[in-house]
Amino acid sequence: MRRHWLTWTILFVFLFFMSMDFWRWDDPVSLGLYNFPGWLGYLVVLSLILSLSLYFFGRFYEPDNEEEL
Amino acid sequence: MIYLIIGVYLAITLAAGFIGYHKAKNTPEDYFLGSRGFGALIMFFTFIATNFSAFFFLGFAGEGYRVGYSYYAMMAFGTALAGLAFFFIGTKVWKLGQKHKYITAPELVGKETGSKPLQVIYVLVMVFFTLPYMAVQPIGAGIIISELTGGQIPYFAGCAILMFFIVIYVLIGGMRSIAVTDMIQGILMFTLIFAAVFLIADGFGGVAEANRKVYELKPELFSREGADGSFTPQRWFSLMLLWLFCVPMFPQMFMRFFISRDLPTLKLSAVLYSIVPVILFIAPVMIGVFGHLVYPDLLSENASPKIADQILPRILTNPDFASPAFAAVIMTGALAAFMSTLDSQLLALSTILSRDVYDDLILGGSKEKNFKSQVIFGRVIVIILAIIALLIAWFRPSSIFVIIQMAFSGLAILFPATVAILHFKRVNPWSCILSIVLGELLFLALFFEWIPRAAILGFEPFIPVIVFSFLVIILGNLLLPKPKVA
Repeated sequence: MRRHWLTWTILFVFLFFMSMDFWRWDDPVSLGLYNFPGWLGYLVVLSLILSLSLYFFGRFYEPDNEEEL
Repeated sequence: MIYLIIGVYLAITLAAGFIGYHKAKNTPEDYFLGSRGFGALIMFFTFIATNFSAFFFLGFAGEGYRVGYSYYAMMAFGTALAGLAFFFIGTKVWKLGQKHKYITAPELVGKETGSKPLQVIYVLVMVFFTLPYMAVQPIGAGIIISELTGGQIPYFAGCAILMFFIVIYVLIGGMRSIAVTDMIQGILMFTLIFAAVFLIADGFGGVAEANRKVYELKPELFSREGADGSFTPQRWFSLMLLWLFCVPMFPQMFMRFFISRDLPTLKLSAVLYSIVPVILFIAPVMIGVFGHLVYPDLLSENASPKIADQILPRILTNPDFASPAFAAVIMTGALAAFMSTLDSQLLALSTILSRDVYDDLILGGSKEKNFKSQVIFGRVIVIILAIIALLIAWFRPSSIFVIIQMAFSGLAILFPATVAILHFKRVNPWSCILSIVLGELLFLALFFEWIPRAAILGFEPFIPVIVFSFLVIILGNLLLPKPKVA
């Protein structure tokens, strides 16, 4: 159980830090699909991965199966 | 024609309210929570319709105009992240609600910790920060109705008409009526904002062509920092986290954790809630970005950045883009956004004031004996709150807008204490009280710059405050004695 919690915590922290993609903020903007900025696709995909992760997290998570803090 | 469209919309809303009324029972649990029996579809629509206020319709377009596409990226991911809080807070709240029949957040924290002072603090914080936010909804609706009718319905009459319809269906059906109207209003918001964006993009030769033209005109709207350089890494980090902390602390959202039929339903609505922003938020931001092709110098015309919030009504009332009747149809989406947030705030505050203040603190909490009086008192409070909101809409005091600026962060400060109460073993209530009181004081000091902003290294004030509040709770629980009853 503890290992599962660690995995989920790492996943969500990882997704959050992937949304802080400051390393490429200064890259020149290229236009992508329908001439939206190309970097927008990255954050849209990241948001959808977050939703998908929440779906699978929901299958695992029960309010009573937490370790007591 | 415009009157007919507004009239039909209000009639549909009222009819939906009556559908809720037909199923209603005269008990507090039914009036305030719809007997905790809502399925996934209604849960999903009531979450989004309640949380996405008129700011989504008008404010997002304004931010799209002012900041550009970066604003969409921040809001979409940040709001999706709030879905995580629905699991850590929502499911636990649902479970405790089922077990102990809690109806409000202050009631839950008061009973779980055995602390009346903590319950009072939650009441004060929730009412103080929600009431002004609630009061600006009729202000916005009054402006829209007045603009749509060319001033034939004056601003305040617009506020009052809208409030009258809301009060009727909240009074008759409580949460059941609100949930049904939320579903209709949510569908309207969804469809009409996309109708608006396709209509406007079509006027420029399609989405791709519109984007190309804006990029040639103002490429900074496509940058990560935003057109006005408003996103620094520290601010981006702060705003990505804000919704995770504050959305579950809105009293109208917290109440919705109680109303789910079962746990899988709540979990499913949390996942759906996290998907919607990615799809929905792009539409108003696109409208704001495309607005530069019609009104490129809106911000230079007026010093206030709030002028950008008028971009959507300005485009829609431009005869090159939409007929007055079609503009009226689109703007009923904005009215739906106003109404679906306002009705839920009205019910949430009346629930807190009748359940926590009137019944628990004044009458001493003998709920079984006070079922009838609680519902009656709740309904009276709905009317009183509606009158207060209309009075604020009449006077429009400038101080109210300052409180609204603080409202999201002010409510987010309840987050650490709430997490501790729900998840820590035997939390000391005084550590929660200290965390909230000291947290709010620190936030005020940072907000009004009694402490220089340089001290927080470019982060939004709520970030150091949340860290501080968590530390206070942890230290409080280490240093103060553990309570005897869990």
